[in-house]
Amino acid sequence: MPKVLVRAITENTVKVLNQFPSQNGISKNLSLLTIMTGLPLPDYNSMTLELGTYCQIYEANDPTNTQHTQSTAAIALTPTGN
Amino acid sequence: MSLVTGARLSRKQWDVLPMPQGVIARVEQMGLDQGQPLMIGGMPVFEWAPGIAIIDDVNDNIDFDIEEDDLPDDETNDENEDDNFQGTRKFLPLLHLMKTIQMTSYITTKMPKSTQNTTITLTTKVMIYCTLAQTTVQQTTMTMVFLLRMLRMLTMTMTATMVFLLRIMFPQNFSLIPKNFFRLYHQVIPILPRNKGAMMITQTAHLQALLSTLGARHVLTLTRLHTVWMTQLRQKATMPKCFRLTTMICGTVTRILDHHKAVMSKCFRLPLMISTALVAP
Repeated sequence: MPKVLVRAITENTVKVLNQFPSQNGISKNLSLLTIMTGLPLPDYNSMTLELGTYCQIYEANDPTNTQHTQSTAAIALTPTGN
Repeated sequence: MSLVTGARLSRKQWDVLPMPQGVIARVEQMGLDQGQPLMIGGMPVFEWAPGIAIIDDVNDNIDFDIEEDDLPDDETNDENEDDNFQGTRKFLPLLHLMKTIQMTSYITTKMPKSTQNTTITLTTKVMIYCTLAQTTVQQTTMTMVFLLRMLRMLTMTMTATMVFLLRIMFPQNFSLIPKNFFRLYHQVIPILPRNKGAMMITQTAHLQALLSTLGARHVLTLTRLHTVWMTQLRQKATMPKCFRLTTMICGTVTRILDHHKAVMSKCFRLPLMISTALVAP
């Protein structure tokens, strides 16, 4: 498995775990993510792509009619939050 | 992650597509190119710390639910206690050795070839000792896993075929081979590289199967074979050499079994019968 993918899987797992309140945490209603960053409950808009999904991503080119491909094959990793 | 460059990209527009086999193969190839290890069991290896494996206790799988009727009489117990104690004491050094080898197995993949060869020598010796000492199923299986991690580039097709045939021909002796041995085949086969078109296992596993099947009479011969093998491996520790050595060892082991010619001919008669039946109109 590529290093980038291993890193993304770990990052995604930790991120998902932190989105929910911990059983032994200081709060039963607020997640660790909310406590530390102030972000709200899980944002389902950022969960549209599952990790490992195969997709074609579009390159931000100017309008052109050349023969060059305008999309790239890629594997979805974690949302960047932007 | 781009499938072309392997770099991490950030884009805002995408189209989700069904996963073709080519993408899976490409990701596997990228992992191999980056020198990433194969994941045994299809999942990451969990360790207490890098190089320190989580090893189950030897007594974890012992079934303590023994009915009273199954227990022998007290007099027999008294007689057997000494034997059991002696047997346990005999195995203790082996247990420690096995644990040490399992601990080092996670480190040796990063070692130079010469160090790996030394470890392989040690492990093969332990395998022979374990066979002689009739060690437990769990230890044998764990050693097998270790060997597979170390020598995952060696072909297994012949071994699987041989074990299957021997299982038919020696049903009473084959009960000596632990069940986990076969379970291990099924666990390991799916994760091995398919580009070789073959299932994989080590020569040592092959010898272990033969040894368990035929008894310990051929230990000396097999040990001599092992010495020859290791000498050649030290000289040129390349994988093509290993393939050739595997074939050589298989051929030599077959020659050892000359006095089992009748049995072996039956082994080869079975696939012949099957093929004849299939070809017949």
